[in-house]
Formats: sequence, C-alpha cells, structure tokens
Amino acid sequence: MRGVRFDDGHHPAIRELDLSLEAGERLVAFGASGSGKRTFLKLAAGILKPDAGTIESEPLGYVPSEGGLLSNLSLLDNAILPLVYHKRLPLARAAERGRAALSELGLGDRLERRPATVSASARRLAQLARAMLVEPSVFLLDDPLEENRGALKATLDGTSKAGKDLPAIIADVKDLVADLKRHPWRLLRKGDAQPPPPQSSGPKQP
Amino acid sequence: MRGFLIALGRAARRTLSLVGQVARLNVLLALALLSPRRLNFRLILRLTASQARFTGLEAVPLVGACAVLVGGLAVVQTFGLLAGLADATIGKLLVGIIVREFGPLLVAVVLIGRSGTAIATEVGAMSLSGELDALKAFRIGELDFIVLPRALGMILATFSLIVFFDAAGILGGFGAASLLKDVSLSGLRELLLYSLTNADLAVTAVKAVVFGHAVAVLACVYGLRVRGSSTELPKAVTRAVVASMGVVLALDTAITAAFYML
Repeated sequence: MRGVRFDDGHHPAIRELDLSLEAGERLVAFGASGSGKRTFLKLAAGILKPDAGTIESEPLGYVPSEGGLLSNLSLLDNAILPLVYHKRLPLARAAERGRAALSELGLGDRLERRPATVSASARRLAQLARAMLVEPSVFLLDDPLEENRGALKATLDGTSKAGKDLPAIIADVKDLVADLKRHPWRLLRKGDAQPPPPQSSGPKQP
Repeated sequence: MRGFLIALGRAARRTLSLVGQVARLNVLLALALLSPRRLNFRLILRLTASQARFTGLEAVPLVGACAVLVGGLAVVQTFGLLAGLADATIGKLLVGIIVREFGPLLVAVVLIGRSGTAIATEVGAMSLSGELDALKAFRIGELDFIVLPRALGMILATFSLIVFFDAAGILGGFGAASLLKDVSLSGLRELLLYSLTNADLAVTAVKAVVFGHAVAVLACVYGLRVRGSSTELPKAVTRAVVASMGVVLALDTAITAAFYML
C-alpha cells in the first residue's frame, strides 16, 4: 500500500497509509472496535477502493470472519472455486486438491455439506482452505480469534505451513502470543502511518 | 414544496444511477463476449445450463397452461364478436396476435414473476451476506460469474418458452374452435402456412433475446445494489419487477413499431 487514503462516510476513515510486507512476515492490526481494522483489511483485499494511493498485491487469500462462502455450493465446491475459475483446472483434479486441503483441516467428513448446515468454525476452516488452495502471496485474516482455539491453531498452522505473509486483524493479542514467538511480526495501531520495523521476540503486552 | 423537490431530486438521481449501471453492465457484457478467450467456458456453461433449466424447463407447465387457455379464450371471444368474418380470416387474426404479441408478452410476465424475482433475491442475498465481497477478494468477476450466465440462460429459456407458448396457444385455439364449429386438421395446416410471415419469426427471435436479456440484467443490477439491511432485499425485488415490466413493454412497442410499421 502506498499513500492510501479512504473516507466514504460509512466506514472508519484512513488518513494516510504506507505499508509493505516481506515474505514470512506477520502484521497484526490492533485496535479498539471501530478503529478501522476491517476497513483496512477490505482495502487490502480490493473490496473497497481507496480515494487516493495505490495498493499492490496478488494473489490474495482472504478469510473473512463471517459470510463469504457461497451458500448454494458445498464446502468442497466453495473451496475449489477460485482454482476452477482462475487456473481452469478440470473439475476432477481441482476436487482432488480441495478434498486434500479440507481433510487436512479436519473437514473431511463434511465436504459435501452446505455452509449453512455446518458449524461456524467449520465455515471458517473451509474459507481458510479456499485461501490456501489459491497459494497466495498474502493471507488476510479477519478476527481469527473468534472461534475456538482449535480452529485458530489450525488457522495459524495452516498459514505458517504455507510460509507466507500474514496480516491479521485481531481483537486481543492473548492467544496469538505463542505463534508470534515463532515468527517476525509487526504491529499496526490506529493512527500509525507506517507499522514499526519487525521484532522477533515475543510481544510486549500493550 | 421543498420536500417535494428534494424527493423528486432523489428519485431522479437514483434513476440515473440505475440507468448508468445497466448501461455499463451491458457494455461490459458486450466486451466480454467479444473476447471470449478470457472467459472460463466450462464454468459459465454449467451456470448457464442451470439457469436455463430453472427459467425454462420448470416454467413449462405454467406457460403451457396459460397458452392453452389464452388461445382458447381468444378464439371463443373472437368468434363471438366477429361473427360476420370468414373463419379463415379469424384464424389468421388469432395466429398473428398470439405469435406476435401475446406469446412474447405473456412469457415475459411469467419470466419476470418467476425468474426476475428469483435472481434479484439471490443476488441481493449474496450481496448482504458478504459472498460478493469474498468473490471480489478472490478476483472472481461478478460479470462473468453472476451476470453473464444468468443472461444467457434467460435468453435461451425465453426463446424456447415463446415458441412453446405459440404452439400451445394455437393448439388451444384450435381446440376451442373445433368445439364451436367444424374445423379440420388440414385447415389448421393451411392456416399456419399462410398466417405467419418471415417478419414473425425474426420478431420472435428478437423479442426473446431482448426480453430475456433485459429481465436478467435488471434483476442482477437491483440485486447487486442491495446493502445495509435485509429489508432492502424485498424492496429491491419489487422495484426490479416494476422496472422490468416497464422496460419490457417499452421494448415491445419499439420492436413492433420497427418491424410492422416501417
């Protein structure tokens, strides 16, 4: 992101933001409710367009905190959709990859179910699988702490296995501590125009 | 007075915004069709097929029933009101009216009521639930994933339904006629041969494409604009129905004028 500015009266405003991430880095956006973390994430994902400035990154793995799975497709079909659409894999091969990814996350027994018929954490894991299958350069996670710790751990393990960038939006830092101890990470708070340089030791309690 | 002007201005802005969105969508669709290599055919075909099945195949009983009844009723009334005219003339009149106007218009009404509402609701719900946001984040174009298959499916279904309606309507009319008078099967064949012109076939095709496309695009646009709360959803659907009716009638008038009055 470079010189990004955003204000449309509906979402929290972002004044001026310059941000670039290296491979393997984690960025944690931290702030009180309403401080603009989700807006930041949506700008990064390309869902919202900034009023000024440029944003570059492709491909993206987006994992929102709710909604986001097409409700009339099974978990498997949802997970492989970006693959089928962009890479034009034949259905059988895409399904194979999808099954592998979903089973790895523990959803092997629920592949054919629709999103509304499974638990919220299952939905979250399916969205993560979808993001992982795209092999993105950046993962965008919205509120990964919302579900139980099992799902969170799978989320963090999954993204570290992919070994990629991981900007994450969280509401509180507690559960993230163990993971952060293992990777270089940076903290972005409301009002920052740029996140501070990476730190490798565990986080200080804010 | 001021309040009235404000409301008028708001309505005008919204209408212009809608017209702009529809125009933009049409241009993008045309451009997408002109460079087909970039489209994912397999996926689009699958989606088109399922839309065509819902809009077309599943509407057959309703359309068939309407057609037979309309054809029969039209015969009954015309025979009664136009007692002086020759049978052949009445027959020609009926075939012409069913094929040229009743068929396309009544099919359009069924289309709007069934598929227009379904598409607007589905797309609107996707907008509200964040599904569209996720698609955008994964760079899955709403144009070729959502709008294009629906428009194509609608066009295919509309054409088939109009032809089906014409056939069923004429048969229904023939059935009613044979109840009222002595009519022969060969008389029917002659009737059909001499009543329909080349313009009729062209008009059927044009109306099918135009109506199917218009209803699909309008339903999608109204659905895509839904946001904020779930009460916006039924509002959008109602507005889509009203707009579709108006647009279909306007287009029908234009096409009829172009083909039959010039």
